[in-house]
Amino acid sequence: MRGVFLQRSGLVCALGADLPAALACLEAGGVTPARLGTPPQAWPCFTIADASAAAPDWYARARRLIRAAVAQCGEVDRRAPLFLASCSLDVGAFEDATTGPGATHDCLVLADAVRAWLDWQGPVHWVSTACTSSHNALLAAADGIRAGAFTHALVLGVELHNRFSSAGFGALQLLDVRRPRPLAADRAGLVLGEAVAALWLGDASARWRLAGGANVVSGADPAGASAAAVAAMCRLALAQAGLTPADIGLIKLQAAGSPANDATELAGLRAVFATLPALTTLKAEIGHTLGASGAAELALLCACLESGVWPRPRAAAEPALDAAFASRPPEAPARRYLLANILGFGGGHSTLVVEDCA
Amino acid sequence: MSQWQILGRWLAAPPADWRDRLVARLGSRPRRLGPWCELGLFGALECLADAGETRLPEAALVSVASLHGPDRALRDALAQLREDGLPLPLGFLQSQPNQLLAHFCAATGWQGDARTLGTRAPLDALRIATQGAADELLLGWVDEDGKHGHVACSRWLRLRRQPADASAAPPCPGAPDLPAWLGLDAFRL
Repeated sequence: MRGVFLQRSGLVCALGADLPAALACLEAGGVTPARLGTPPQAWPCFTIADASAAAPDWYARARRLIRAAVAQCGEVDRRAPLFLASCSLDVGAFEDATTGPGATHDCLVLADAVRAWLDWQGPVHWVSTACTSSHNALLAAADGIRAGAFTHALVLGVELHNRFSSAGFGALQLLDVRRPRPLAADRAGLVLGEAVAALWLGDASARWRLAGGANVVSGADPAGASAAAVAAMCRLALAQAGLTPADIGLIKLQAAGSPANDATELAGLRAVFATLPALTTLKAEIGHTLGASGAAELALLCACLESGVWPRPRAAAEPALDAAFASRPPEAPARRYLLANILGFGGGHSTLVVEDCA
Repeated sequence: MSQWQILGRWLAAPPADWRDRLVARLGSRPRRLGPWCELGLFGALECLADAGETRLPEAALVSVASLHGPDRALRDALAQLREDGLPLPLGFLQSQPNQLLAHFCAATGWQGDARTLGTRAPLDALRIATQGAADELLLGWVDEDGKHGHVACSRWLRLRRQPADASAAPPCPGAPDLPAWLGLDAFRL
């Protein structure tokens, strides 16, 4: 069976227009989320600071940002499959139209546009499992590479600001009005963010190998996480990778700042890990980028580990959680294997096991 | 290439009384589900019943393909957003296709790998699902009867990977609405 490696990646997010810019911004202290909308529906959002953010042409902005993220991957084979991961798709383009989306509009309008913008020749699929969309896109792409159906695939996570998502999460009372405070005692919810992330996967050896992964959907709570499902996803992913919990040196948590889910995630992890390895989170830096989060956070996490730039813990963890974020990256070889978690509303729980082959 | 046994199927158009049949399968009227989710759940449960099952094996994969997704719920939630500045919480949730997965899990007491996928070539969903390691699949193609001429469908197949030495089956037929699927017990893909 073939291996699956992250060949190259690209990211446009609130921290910067590419990965080097994001790392520089992170090292300099990061960014403060913008506040969008008008009270009482003015929620913070980690927006991409591009000049045309307020431009009325949603598709023109999406085209520019998507091309910018994919360009960071360098030369890619445009005949490969492309897995588009997005929760809100192009809803920002028509959410204010009194007639809603056009009569012929369907879920693949953005996928078709991406195909044209990138001059993509291979098949384009849309994976939608809310916040776990990018992980499921990555797992589906990896399945195809392992099975020999194709040698490369592009996973493209796209989540751009729209009032509908902000208001929807606001209506569910899941948003904080401040910077998100993962694991903190006074955490009050998540803060959304924008991101376009491109992961170019292939079977040729590279530094980062996708050693395993799992997606577990649970019906226990259609709007939240389940500790049993978190534990199940970890066990499945570790089994696929042929590893034990002791092999994992770092966990990139979901930890969006949710009062309930942050604690649930840790409870699920503790059912598998007798001692938790080093922990980190990226949502206090780029926000919760929903369907793009799995790809965006993997690209940024790998860049952090390569560069040594590290997200500093922004708030002390709640003592009752008995956990803390690492203030620096774990040293090799302890960090050879890492776990990257994404949990989502709709009962989605997913994790990737990634090997640092350096 | 693998060979797949068809354990169960629901390929017919939804009958006029499909909602009553869904209530009968669930034992009570479903709550908090949007119309697309209800339609998908109906076909999934009919397909499971055709396979003689009430619950999937633990290691199964559920994959649901759709071109329009929960279109009516999305339009309703957007209308609420324009009118009130906030969609109703339930309306927002119902606009998300992955709610079908969670409600399928809740209805059957199952927990496992599940996803929704959009593709213009319906069989791509089947191809992608069969490329993975799961030997047990439940695949659905679900689109609601919308306001713009969409034709309602909730077609489902319950598949099991056959051992390599199984007797050769015919190749996979084309799109899942073809009658060729009806008389088929197994196929190669």
